[in-house]
Amino acid sequence: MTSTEGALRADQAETSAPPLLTIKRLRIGFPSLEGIVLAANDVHLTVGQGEVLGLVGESGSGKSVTCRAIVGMVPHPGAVLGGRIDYDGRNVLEFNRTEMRELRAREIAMIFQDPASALNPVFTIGHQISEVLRLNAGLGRAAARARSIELLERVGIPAPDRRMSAFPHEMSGGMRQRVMIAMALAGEPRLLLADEPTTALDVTIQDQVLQLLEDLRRERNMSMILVSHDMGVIGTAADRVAVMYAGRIVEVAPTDVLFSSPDHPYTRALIDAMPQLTPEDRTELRTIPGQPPDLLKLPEGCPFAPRCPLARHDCAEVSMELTAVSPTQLSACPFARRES
Amino acid sequence: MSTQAPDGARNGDPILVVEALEKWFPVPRSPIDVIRRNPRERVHAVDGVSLQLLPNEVLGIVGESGSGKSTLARCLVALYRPNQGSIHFDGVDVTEATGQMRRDLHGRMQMIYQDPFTSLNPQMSIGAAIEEAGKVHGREGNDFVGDLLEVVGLPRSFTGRRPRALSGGQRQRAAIARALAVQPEVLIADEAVSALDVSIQAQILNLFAQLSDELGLAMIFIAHDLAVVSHVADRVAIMYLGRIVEEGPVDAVFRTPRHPYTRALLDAHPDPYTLGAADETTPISGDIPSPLDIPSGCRFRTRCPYATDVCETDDPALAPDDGPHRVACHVLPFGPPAEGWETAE
Repeated sequence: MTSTEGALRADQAETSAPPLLTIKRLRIGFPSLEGIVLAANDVHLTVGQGEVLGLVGESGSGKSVTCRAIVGMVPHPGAVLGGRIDYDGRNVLEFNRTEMRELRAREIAMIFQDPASALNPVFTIGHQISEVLRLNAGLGRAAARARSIELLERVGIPAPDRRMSAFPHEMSGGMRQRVMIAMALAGEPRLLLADEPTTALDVTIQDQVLQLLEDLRRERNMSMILVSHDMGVIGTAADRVAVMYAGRIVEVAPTDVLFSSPDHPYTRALIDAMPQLTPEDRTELRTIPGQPPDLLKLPEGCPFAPRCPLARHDCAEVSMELTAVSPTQLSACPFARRES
Repeated sequence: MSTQAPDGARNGDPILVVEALEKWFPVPRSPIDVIRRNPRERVHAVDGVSLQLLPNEVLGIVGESGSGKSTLARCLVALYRPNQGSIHFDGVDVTEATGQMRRDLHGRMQMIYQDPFTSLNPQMSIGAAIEEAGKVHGREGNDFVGDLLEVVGLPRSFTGRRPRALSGGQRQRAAIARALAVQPEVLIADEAVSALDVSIQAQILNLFAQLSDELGLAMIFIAHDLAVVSHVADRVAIMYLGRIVEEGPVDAVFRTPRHPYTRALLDAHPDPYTLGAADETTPISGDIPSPLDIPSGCRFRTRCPYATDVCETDDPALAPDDGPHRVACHVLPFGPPAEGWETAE
């Protein structure tokens, strides 16, 4: 395949479903004493209706901040510097406060890594879920209570009517995350942003929560962006995966393709660095040499070049534009395919 | 005391022998509890653990939060005094050791923690921290500092750096160098790679494997991540609510688990390469019970799909003469141990 044929951009990439969310050339910057740190740099993403997009990368790769930009929650003093985020045909970056509130109330919900800090410790969980329903759906007290119990039951909380009067500290981590999911579902969102939803949970509980998210997605045809640093979680729960490195998307592919034939050297290295449960032989894990990048001192061209086994002199001239490896797989490395 | 080598693959007497270890913590009582004379409650963090560690062996300990694995580690290095049971390190009773004897033990056993940011003194340069540890335990000069930095894969020039000038992976390397400075015989790593990114985690795991191969260190490697343990351990013990429920060579336990809890842990482990196969089993339900109120009989029965009446009344023990792959279960739904794994490395 020649590079001109392959010049297909991420926003035109095939998803099996019509896109609900399209992010184009998103740039998010944080001011620092030594200049602006680009936490997200020319990020392109699409999320189809009913699709789970996995967003994977190491700490500082920009996955969380990209996710937060969608609901206008880039933490201070960061700001969106450019690009657009089209949700259902409208650019959310141009939304005013009221429109953004509406969007967060009815269309896009978010769950976080640590449910203990996302819940208010001094109110019962029943109070907190009912409040969401009364404010967003305009339900009365009794109706909100009944609906809250339904939601708690749906997310698998035993004896939901009694649990309504429990405080967050009286519940386990897994139960609190279920409560967060119930609250997120209260507005019947079409898109759920899940930022490391199972990172704080034990494996058996993680398994239960991932299963719950998958059931809810099927049941409601809900789209989801699943942010995680764990390739295992991404591999089991996502339909398509975008890999981020130093604020850039380096590869996008359907999950099975990504794991069976990764293109970008960084994706390959990430997969190789994963310890296996029952490896054929316990030889050394292949590692990525060097340290995660300093976002203030990124090299010209490809930011992964200093750690890349395939690096060559012209890596500094790479545009980092995603090009098509196949109709469904996009990669920012123009050299990887030729080498393999 | 039985000092028979548990897996036969390695020679020598065990360097560390733990027998029927129990550690509990009293729960603070409110004035109302005192007035009502409510019984004093206890959290049973470690509740009857026996294990042995051979020289040059890496024993992995796996368990979910609240299973007691960190409490066990702290008992081993005499940070906690156990309430019951004994710990013998090379014939010396750790629980009874005081004064100079205790200091000697600390020189022979070192612990590495999850977060090197809190375990390294921020005011002290890496070199000074390593040197101090060595000097306290009788090493002369400071020429060993640079060598140790090299052993853990840091440039010698890092001697003067403060912990905050290092990345997470480098800091963990420095913490390991400091532990090695006292020339320990046993390293106890408590979730030592859990806070690191995947690419860095792999580097540190390789370092641990290299230390065990090249320096012949015995190691207890505690983690909640099964794949991480699988990579470094020779033998693995699975903990649940303060007990070891299964123990054996790592290949045997991970390929042919015998305890329903081990099976559930393995099934829940997200592995992108075993898609589909994992969906045939139903995930175990519910949370780990509170260690304040441990179920009667088998402590896993409340979540076990195979539980029977016996499980409710009788507490299963790890059978001592059950070969190298031992399990504490009445039902054994997956049959006898598979043959052939014992010889696996």
